[in-house]
Amino acid sequence: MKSVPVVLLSLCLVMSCDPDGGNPTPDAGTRQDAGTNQDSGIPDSGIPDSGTTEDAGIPDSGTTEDAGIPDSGTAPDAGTTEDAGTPPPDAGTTPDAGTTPDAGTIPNTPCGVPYLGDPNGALDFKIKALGPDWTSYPLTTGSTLTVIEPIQGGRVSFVGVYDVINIDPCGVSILGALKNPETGRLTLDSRTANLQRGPDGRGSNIDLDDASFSNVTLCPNQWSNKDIYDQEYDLIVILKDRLEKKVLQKTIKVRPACNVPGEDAYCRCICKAGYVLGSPCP
Amino acid sequence: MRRPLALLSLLALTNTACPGTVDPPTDQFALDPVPAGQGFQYVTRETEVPQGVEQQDCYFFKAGDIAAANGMPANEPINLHRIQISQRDGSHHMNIYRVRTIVGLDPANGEFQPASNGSGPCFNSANWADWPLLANTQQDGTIDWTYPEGVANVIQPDEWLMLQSHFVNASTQKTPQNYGRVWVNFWAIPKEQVKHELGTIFATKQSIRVCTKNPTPVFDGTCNLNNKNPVQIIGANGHFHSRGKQFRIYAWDGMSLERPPEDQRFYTSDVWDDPPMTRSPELDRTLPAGSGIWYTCNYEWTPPPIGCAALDAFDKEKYSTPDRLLDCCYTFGPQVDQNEHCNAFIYYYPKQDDVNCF
Repeated sequence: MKSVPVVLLSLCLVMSCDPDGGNPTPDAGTRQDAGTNQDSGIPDSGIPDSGTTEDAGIPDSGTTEDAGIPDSGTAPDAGTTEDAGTPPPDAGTTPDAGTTPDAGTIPNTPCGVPYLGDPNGALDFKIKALGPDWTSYPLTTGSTLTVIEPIQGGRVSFVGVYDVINIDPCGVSILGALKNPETGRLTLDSRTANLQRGPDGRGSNIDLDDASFSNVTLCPNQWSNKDIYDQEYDLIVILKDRLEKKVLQKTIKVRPACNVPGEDAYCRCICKAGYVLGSPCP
Repeated sequence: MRRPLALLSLLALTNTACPGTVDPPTDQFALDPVPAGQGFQYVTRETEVPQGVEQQDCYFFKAGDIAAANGMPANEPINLHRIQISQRDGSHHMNIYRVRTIVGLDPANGEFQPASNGSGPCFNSANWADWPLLANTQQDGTIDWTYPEGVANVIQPDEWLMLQSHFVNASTQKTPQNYGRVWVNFWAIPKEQVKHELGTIFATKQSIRVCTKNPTPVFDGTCNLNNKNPVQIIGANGHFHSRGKQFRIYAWDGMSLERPPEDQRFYTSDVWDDPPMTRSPELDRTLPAGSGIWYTCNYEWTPPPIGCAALDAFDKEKYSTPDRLLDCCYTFGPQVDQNEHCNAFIYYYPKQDDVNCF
């Protein structure tokens, strides 16, 4: 696959190829065209989504996120440059952005955020999660995954995406799942969200909008036969565009952790294997 | 100090109206009491719900005390086999939970803990995050549900229960009599007749948002049972507010990443204000070992009756959403005109555990 100077391509898209003139500010008060949304309320026919079967026919360079390529450890949000100073990723992990589209082929988007990249290019993204201080950090194989108490109770991990390229950012479906690799049992959350676009033309969830992250339900632990914390799990992320024409799934090994200061004891109690609902916890 | 628990509980049975209010109307919704020795009845207070008000009240009682007062054996479990619930029009929901970890809601603070318009601990779901569900209804009028033969929801005599009653007299829902009230009859069977214990699942989607720029979101969630043997699902209902378009619940294998096929769907609701309670005998769905449920909520944004400024103000105050992200969003919460939910209530046997998926 030919390597593409992604930074240059991104600049092209921002400066001249974006019909909205690169203005990411949403039009206050406009209502999204209901007819272009992913799900207008018509019941799902029940046909499995093409490409959502794990790693089957999905245009993905592999299922391991950033294997062997450590990032700088910065917590990305819209506007920051990811991995400044790290060597460029090899051809196997950089999606081919395809031919440079002319202005007429970049589709309009209904949510005020311009298209991310090239509609003919392969979808790609990286994975991140909110940390103990509710700011996001990149996730790679072996990362710690923070277990957080959300405002409604219980414990979740907020799993999101960044460096998203070649997708309509409006009404994407983001699914996060934590899977016990020994038993195959998993817990998941899927939701529709709008990605935000950074100056580099790539998309991401914004930390302040935790509702746009997948809120992966973890505890009370009544689903896994081992502790949630300090054990190895598979984290699966599936990103789909609203028309379900672009789908990408990635899987990395993670170790969830009860690492929010002051909450670790209670977290370890309700996230322990064999927890019985309502048992006393410190 | 010994708390006069029996007295507190019995007070719940009295016909006490708030002082200075209009005489309550005649009650066409009242249930005849359960005969002595067969169970017990719990009746909430006459709660005023003026126009523009959402009233959500939490009632605490010890089932064993009320049961013993009605001739049930003292200090023995109550094997709930049939439940009757009657509510005045305007009820948004009525849930009964088993009290467990005390956070912000405490029986020690009194039998009756009212709250209005989103303020107060009775509105904060984190206060009952590990409280197992016992029973619920979202339907006006009366429901009368007898569980399958030998199936009972076992309540311990010293167990505190919380009944949460939500009446709405606002734009999208009305309480026509301006007063809410709930009657609940708990019918028991002797322990010799109990073959299977009933269990419950309560699942809720976190961080719901329905906004103008993402006006038709879909939320999917799962909840595992961790059952070593097959179980029977015999009751289900789903809860959202008026932006909700469809609520679906499926049998799920506990492992797949895709929404189950349609032949696995066992519950559908297309109405938010009087959602169906699908239950036995019509619902008797087998879940294989190691499985669970998958639930899906579809929404459609509509202009808010209270206006976007109010929605944004709530979003900012409750969720600290910065100005640049305000988008006239309905956010997670209990108030009908400005919040949304995606909550699933499931009843099954034999009980593996009461399950909460948050």
